[in-house]
Amino acid sequence: MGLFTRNTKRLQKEHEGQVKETFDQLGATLLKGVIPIADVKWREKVKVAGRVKALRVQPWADQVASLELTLADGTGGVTVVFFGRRTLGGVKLGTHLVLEGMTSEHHHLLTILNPEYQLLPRQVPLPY
Amino acid sequence: MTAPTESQPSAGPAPLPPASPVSIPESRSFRFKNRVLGNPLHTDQLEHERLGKPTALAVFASDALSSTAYATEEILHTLLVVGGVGMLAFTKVMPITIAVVIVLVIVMFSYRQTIKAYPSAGGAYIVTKDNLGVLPAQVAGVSLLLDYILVVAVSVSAGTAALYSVFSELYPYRVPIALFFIAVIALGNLRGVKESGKVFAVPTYAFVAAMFIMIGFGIYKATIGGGLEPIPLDQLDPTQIHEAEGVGLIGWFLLLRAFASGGAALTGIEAVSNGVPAFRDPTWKNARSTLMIMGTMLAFMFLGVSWLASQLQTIPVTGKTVIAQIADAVYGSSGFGQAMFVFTQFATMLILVLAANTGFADFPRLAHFQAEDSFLPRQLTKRGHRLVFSNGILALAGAAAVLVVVLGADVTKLIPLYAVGVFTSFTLSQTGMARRHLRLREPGWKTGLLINGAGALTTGIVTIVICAAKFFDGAWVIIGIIPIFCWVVVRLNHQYEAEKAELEEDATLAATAPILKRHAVVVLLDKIDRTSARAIQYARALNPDRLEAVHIAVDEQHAHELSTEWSNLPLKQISLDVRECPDRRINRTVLEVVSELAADGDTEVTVLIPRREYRSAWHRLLHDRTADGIAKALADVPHANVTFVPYHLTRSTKGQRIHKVEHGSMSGTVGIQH
Repeated sequence: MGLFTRNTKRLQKEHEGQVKETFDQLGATLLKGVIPIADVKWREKVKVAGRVKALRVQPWADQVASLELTLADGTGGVTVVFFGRRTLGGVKLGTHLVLEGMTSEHHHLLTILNPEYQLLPRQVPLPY
Repeated sequence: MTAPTESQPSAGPAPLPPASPVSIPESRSFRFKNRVLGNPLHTDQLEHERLGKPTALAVFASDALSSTAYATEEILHTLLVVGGVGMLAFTKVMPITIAVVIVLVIVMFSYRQTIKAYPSAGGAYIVTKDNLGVLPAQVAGVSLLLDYILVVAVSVSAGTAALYSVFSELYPYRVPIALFFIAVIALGNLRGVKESGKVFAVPTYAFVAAMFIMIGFGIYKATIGGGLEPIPLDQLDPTQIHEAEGVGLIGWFLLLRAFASGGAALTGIEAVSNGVPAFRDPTWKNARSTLMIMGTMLAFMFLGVSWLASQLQTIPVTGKTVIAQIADAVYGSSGFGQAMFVFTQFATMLILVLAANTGFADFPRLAHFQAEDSFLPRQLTKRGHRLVFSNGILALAGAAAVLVVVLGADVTKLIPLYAVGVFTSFTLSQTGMARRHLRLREPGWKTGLLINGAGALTTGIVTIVICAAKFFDGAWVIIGIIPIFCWVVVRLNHQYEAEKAELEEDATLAATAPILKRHAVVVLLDKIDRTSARAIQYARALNPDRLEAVHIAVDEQHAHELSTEWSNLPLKQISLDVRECPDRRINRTVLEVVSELAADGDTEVTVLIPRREYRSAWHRLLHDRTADGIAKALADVPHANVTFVPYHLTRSTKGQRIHKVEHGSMSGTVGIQH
C-alpha cells in the first residue's frame, strides 16, 4: 500500500523542487528592473511589484469608467488608475501585480496611469 | 540657489507610506489575544496541510481507535453491574464484540463509497443535504454536533480515568483534571495547531503499539505461558462488586443493551470521510486505504481487548479501568511489567485526550457549514485571530465542560448519551448515498447501492436498537434534545430568511432614492460641560437646516439654572428647547420631540447624544445608561438617526482630567463662537 515507502517521499520532494525552480525562473524574468515603491518619483517611468491593498469602484452612473487601486509593497504604496474600464481580469484584493508605467498625479496622489500590468503568481515572492 | 530636494513641491506627490500614517493603539483585548494565541494570521496563510497516509492515520484514527479503551468496559458494565448476571457475562462479551465488529465492517465499506463520491468534503451533513434535502441534513448536522460535544466529554473523562487508574489519589480531582484537559485542547485549537500531524503521530502509534503488545503478551501467556488466570475477586474492592456476584438471567434485552454500549466503538469512523481534502493526491485513494487500515486496526484491537477481558474476567469498578486491570494482570508485578503498565496507561490517556481533539476539529467545521446555510448563528462562520473558527471552538469547549461537570466526568454516565447521534448521522448519510446511486447510476452503481443500502439498513436498525436499549439509561436526553434542537435550528433559519427577504427588497431602488428635503439636528443636553460642548461643536459642523438643543426638564430648578446659563452663551442660532417631563419618562419625551420633527415625512432628524466613554466597566457602572435607553427608544421612528458624540474620560481619578485641548476651539470654559 506504500504506507511507509521512502520512494514516494523522494518523488514528492523532487517534484516540489522542480516546481520551485520553475517559479524562481518565472520570478527572475517578471521582476527584472523592479524598484521599491518608496523610491518611485513623480514623472518617471517605473516598474514596481506589490499586492493590491485597496480597490475603488465607481458606481455605474458615473460618466468616466475607471478602476482605481492601491498597490503596496513592504516599503510603501502607490495609487494606480486604469481609465476606461471597471474591472481587470484576475485583479482582486491581495493579488500580486507587476506594473510598468509613467507616474503622474491624480487627486493629489502619486499615481501610475494606465500602466502595463502582469499578474504575479503567489508562489513568486515579492522582491521588496 | 538651494539644491532641489525631494521634499520640494516641484517633485510632485510622494508614494504612500508603508503603514497607515495614523497610529491607532491596539485594544487591550487584542494585545491579550496576541500574547495568549500568538500573532494574528493573515488570511492568505489559510492553507490546507496535506497529510501523507501515516500522519493522516494518526490524525483521523485517534477518535476511532481510542474507543477501544472504553468500549469493552462499557459492555461489561452493562452485563455485570446493570444486568447482574455474574460469571455468565464473560461468555457473552466476545459474541457482542463480534456483532459490533460486523457493524463496523459494514459501515467501513459504506464509507468507502462516500469517500469516492464526495472527495471534497463528505461529512454526513453535506451528503445528506445533497441527496435527501436541507431538512434531513439538519437532523444529521444536529445529531453530529451533539455527538462531537459528547466525543469531547467522553474522551476527556476516559483519559482522566486512565490517569487515576495509575495514580489513584487523583480520583477525587477528576472533574478539575478533565476540565483542564478541555481547556488545554481548546487553547491549542484556538492557536491553530499547525503541526497537528506530528503532535498526533506519537500518541496514536504509542497507543496502537501498547494495545498490540498487550494483546500479544496476553495471547502468549494464554497459550505458551501456562494460561491466563482470572483476576481474584479479593484484589478488587468488594463493596464495589457486590452486584456483580448476583446471578440473573441473560435476556435478549440485556444483550441488546450491552451491544448498544459497545456501539460506541464505531464513533470516529466518519472522521476520514470528513477530511478527505486533507490527504495528499490522489486524495480519495489515500483516504480509502487509510480508512481500511484504521478499521482493521480498530477491529483487531477491540476483539483482542474483549477476549482478554473475558479470559481475565475483569470487573469494571470505579477507580480502575478494565484496560488498566488487563495490563496489570498481563504484565505482572515485575519491574518491567510495572513499566509496561504505566506506558499503556499513559498511551491510553494521551490518545483519549487527542480523540477529544477530533471533536474540536470537526465541530467548528460542521457548525460553519450549517451556519453558512443560515441554520446556526452567523457568528459560527467567522474565522478568528488564528484563522480557525474560534466561536465554534469556544462553544464546543463550553458545552463539553458543562457535560463533564454535570455528570462528574463519569464515562459510564456519558456513554448512554453517546452513539445515538453518530448512528443517526450514519443512517442518514448512508441513505443519502443509496439515493445518490439510484439517481446518478454511475458505473458500478449496483454494487454501490448494495453496499450503502446494507449500510443504511444496518445502521438504521442499530440506531433503533440503541435508542430503545439505552432509552432509560439516559439516551432519552439526546432523543429528546435532537428534535428540539432541530426545531430551534429551523426556526432560526426562518428568522434569517425573513430578515434577508425584508432587507433585500428593492435595495437598489432604495439606495438611489432621493434624499429628504430637510435636516434637523437635535442636541440632547443635561448640563453645559465638556461632553455637551463637543456635541454642540459637532452639531454645528453638520450645518443642518434646523439646529436646536433640547433639555428634558425632570428637575425644574435645574432646568431653570440651565436656561439662565444658556442665555449667557455667546452662541448664535441655537435655541435651547426646555421640555417638561412631569412623569420623568425621559425616553418617551425625547421620542415625542423627535416624532414631531419627523412628522412631515420630509425631514431627516439627527439626534446627537453626548456620551462619556469610560476606560473600564467599573467606571461605567457608576452611571446609568440613559443614552443607550434613548437610542433604543428612537429605533422605531423612521428617519430618526442617533449619533453618539463620545467624550473620553481619561484620568478621571487623578484630578488632572483634561490634559489636552481637543479640536483647538475649546478651552477650559465653554466659549464657542459661531
